[in-house]
Amino acid sequence: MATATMVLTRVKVQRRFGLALRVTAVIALLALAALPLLLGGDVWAQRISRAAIYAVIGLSINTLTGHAGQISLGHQAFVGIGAFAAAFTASRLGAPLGFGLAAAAAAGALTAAVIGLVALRVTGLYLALVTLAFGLTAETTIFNWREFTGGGAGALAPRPTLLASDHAFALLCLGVLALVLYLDWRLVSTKTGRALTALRNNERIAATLGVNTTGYKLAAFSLSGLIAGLAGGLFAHWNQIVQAMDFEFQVALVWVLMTVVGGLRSRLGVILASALFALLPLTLPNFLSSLPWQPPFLNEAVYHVLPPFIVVVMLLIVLRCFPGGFGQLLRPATRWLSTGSARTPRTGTGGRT
Amino acid sequence: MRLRTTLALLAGALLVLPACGQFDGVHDDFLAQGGENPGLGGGDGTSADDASSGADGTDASGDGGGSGGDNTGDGGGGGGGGNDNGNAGNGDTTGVTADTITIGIHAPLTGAAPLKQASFETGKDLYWQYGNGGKPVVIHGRTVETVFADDQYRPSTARQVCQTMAEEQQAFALIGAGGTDQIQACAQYAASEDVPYLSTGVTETGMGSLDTYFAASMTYKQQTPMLTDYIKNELGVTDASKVAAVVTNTPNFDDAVEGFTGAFDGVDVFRPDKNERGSSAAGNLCTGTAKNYDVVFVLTSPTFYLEMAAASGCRPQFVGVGVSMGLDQVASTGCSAAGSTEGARFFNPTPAFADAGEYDPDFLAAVDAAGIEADDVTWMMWGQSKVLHQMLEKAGEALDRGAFMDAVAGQKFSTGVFPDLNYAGGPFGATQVSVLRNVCDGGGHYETDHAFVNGF
Amino acid sequence: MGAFLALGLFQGAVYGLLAVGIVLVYKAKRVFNFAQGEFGGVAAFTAYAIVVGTGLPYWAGVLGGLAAAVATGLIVERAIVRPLESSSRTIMLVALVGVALFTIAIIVLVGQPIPRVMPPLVDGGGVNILGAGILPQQLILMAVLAVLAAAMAWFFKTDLGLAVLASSQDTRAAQVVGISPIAVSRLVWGMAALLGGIAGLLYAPVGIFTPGFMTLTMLVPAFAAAVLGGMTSLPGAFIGGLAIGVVQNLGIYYLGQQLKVPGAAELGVFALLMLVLLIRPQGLLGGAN
Repeated sequence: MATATMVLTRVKVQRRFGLALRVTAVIALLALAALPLLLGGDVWAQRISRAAIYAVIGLSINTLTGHAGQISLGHQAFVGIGAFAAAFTASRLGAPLGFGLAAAAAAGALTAAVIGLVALRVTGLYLALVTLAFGLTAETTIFNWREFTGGGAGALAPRPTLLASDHAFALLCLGVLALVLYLDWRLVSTKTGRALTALRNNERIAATLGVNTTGYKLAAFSLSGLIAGLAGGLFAHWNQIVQAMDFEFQVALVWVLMTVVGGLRSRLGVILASALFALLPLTLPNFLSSLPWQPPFLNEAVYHVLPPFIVVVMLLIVLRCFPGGFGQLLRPATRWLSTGSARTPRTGTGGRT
Repeated sequence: MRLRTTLALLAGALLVLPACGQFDGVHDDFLAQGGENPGLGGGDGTSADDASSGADGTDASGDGGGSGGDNTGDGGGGGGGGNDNGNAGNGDTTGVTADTITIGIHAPLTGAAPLKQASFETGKDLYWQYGNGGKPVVIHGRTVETVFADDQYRPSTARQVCQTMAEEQQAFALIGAGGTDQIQACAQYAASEDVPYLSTGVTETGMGSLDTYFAASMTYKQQTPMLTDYIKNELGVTDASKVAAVVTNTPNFDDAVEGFTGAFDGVDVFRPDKNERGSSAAGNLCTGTAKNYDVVFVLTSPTFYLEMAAASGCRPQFVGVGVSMGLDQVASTGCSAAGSTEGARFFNPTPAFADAGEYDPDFLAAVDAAGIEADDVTWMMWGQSKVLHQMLEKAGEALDRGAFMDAVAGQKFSTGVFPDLNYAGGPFGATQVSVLRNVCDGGGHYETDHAFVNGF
Repeated sequence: MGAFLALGLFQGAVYGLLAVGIVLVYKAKRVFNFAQGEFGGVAAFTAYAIVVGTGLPYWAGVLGGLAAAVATGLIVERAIVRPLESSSRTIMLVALVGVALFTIAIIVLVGQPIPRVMPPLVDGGGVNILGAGILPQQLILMAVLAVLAAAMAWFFKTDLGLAVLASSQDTRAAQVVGISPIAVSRLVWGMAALLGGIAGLLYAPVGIFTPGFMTLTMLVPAFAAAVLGGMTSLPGAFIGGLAIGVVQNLGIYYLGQQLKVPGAAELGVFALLMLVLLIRPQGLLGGAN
């Protein structure tokens, strides 16, 4: 009896200790991530906003490609429409920021739904083609429509006084990211999430199981458009100005790449990869040229051409060596943080050291 | 069902957000200011009123150059909407130390219309390191250091790298080397943070009211009426039906088109999209080898122009304005495509690189001293640096951003490389252009037809 | 108007040439080959380096360019396509997008990203067709397209071609009768790269070429052409290419210049693509094959 109680107590203590350790680790990591925001000044605040916006875009593509197994190569269209909608609401209608973001999300969702209604009648890879062609059309037709995009100087999207500082805006972006993260998390654990899983694994079997495949695909597509539009709204206010040139189709390709590098269906991986893709071109050249030792065959100008090369190499390495992306690499760590066990893949058992 | 709940929550959250985002009618003012960042915190209401009256031209804070000419008192130049640091000699000495001044330069090295990387690498420091008879330039006891950033030909990136250079790398002033939309985006950032910004002249849209911006050469809108005079008087084509304009369909070129059609009534205007192939536009210009137009005004990407020229079997006379068209790279590529651009004439900020020694012997001396291979990008950077040098010189020893802007607004500068500048009437102070002619003999390049002319 | 028709037709020939390669890969492997354009990019830049850079004769440049393209195709097949054979088609598409961007990044790193001019196969002024000046190079391109589309259609009737088709329909069964899936895969990617290389070599001298010139502006219309033709039909790719070229240029003429709609060329392609997918998803000439 006594020994049994003692063992039980020890397990309990260990479990408590493990939990405390893990909570501390999470808090420490978050604090580390928040450091640049606290110490980096406006430049880093803007960079963090950019990283958060990219992460929201990554999660938007994750919804579509990761959860529903569909692909879009024209996401810049949804982001761009969201951005111009937000700018239009803010500068022409003079509506407050919240309305602008709502309009951005609605515009993104609506566009995605309309495109999806038509495009989802075709299967699989054709969707990639339709979205690609739509992205190009949006870039040249819609974003050059002067009444909507504001003509000359681009569309202005002023921030309200409360969010005028770059720090406040970075917090807003992080807040939206948290919201989208929550949405993604909820999505997976619902009936919809399970339906999407079935759909992704085998559309025909899903259909025979009574899953309304087209309906769910359309829902995933619209949700992805909604999140992309929301990201676009933030993007507009990030620089307080948007121009058609910001939404070239290469951008959409890079976004798909970054989601895959992050690891489809791995929220943490997608966020990390998105942040990396957002920040690499802005920080790497300066970092390299400030190093004390410079390789003789490289120069500062080459450093500027390097980031696009690096991200593609990362994609090819990921696809060849660890298809789960960053998510796969981080899995032991994330599993320990969430369950306390680095190895056992069993779920629901809680803490065991 | 849960999904629906979540969606409802999301929608709810979005609708609650408005409560924390009220404007005090600042957006109207924002538009009037051409995109300047509205004031931070505090007495926003009053400063907004100040700024909107300034935009009417009654207050010094509206337009730095415009009022600075005869009134160099406080509020001129560095006024910046009158919010945070509006006094002359505003004490903002970012980028200035006892013995150095840091300058930031941005240009596209990657992206849709990149410039040669190597030219920037060698060109950005040439003037500052060797401009003083082979020795470093010294301005009131300080030398100049440069930082450089690639704007990827994207406006949002341009704004971001400009902020990085101005705030993190502590650049005192910024220079834009090329790309209309990127220059515009960076200029708007610079104005919102009271950072001096100098670029070659591009569009005027959204730039006129930026009180830290100075164009070092004529804008497209200023050049196009001159171009019509050139076509009429120098090329001898007065019949509007024999003249066409091919201008990329971007809102930032609208003012150039207006300037052109306003001065030359009845010309045909084609606005191709940026993804279109130049060969498609050739179908308008020629019927087989018969010319539909004698003179064609081009304002597009260099690649588009080159393709259009190559596909135009009738060889019309191409003319144009701008910076990138005048690059020798364009002439050389055009000439290797069956000499299709032979004889094309472009307005350019500087005389041709081939004649650089004639207009500034120091340039060749500096190139020799540095032991580099110069090209026209280097030459252009040299000229722009020289303009900035004169401005910094005028700002005096107690250098800060406010003093700099006061010293430049309303003043005149003359470098002999870039056009003579007079900012009495605003930030678009240049009144001269040089005319370059594409010569294919001996490898395609440009030669100077006219240097620093005010009209034709 | 007539000039736009002619320009569209000859522009469309390039789309057709790319589409033939796309159809070949799709027929054999059920993969959307996003890297098809960059095979041409590699060929054009290699040939340029040989002809203009080192001054060797033109045929050496052509051979070198095609060899570089085929080598690229085989490397892509070995390093990317075969290891990912079992993953989803979405991942395969993303990988091929990566390959295209990788190739462009390499070209930008190695050569400066400046516009270049490749000397044409045949010099000489343009021929007047319907009021448009058409270069001899473009006439050659059109002829080569017709020959290649016919040759590819014939290829799938030969024993070798049938073996490729058999392998694509049931790899295991084909293996049983002695068709090696690896050999088939190599053959298909090598041929696709060769076709892409030919397209790049023929098209580069028509205009100005920059890094990514085949992918950034040619690839989407080429895919639209393949879809229009039915995705598996080689004559379909030929006709689809020409049709897309004509639709683009008529779009520019009517929508762009008469009605001042921005982005008329892209709008035209998008509308046509949607129309085909909605009304006749099997394409103009698709079907049993």
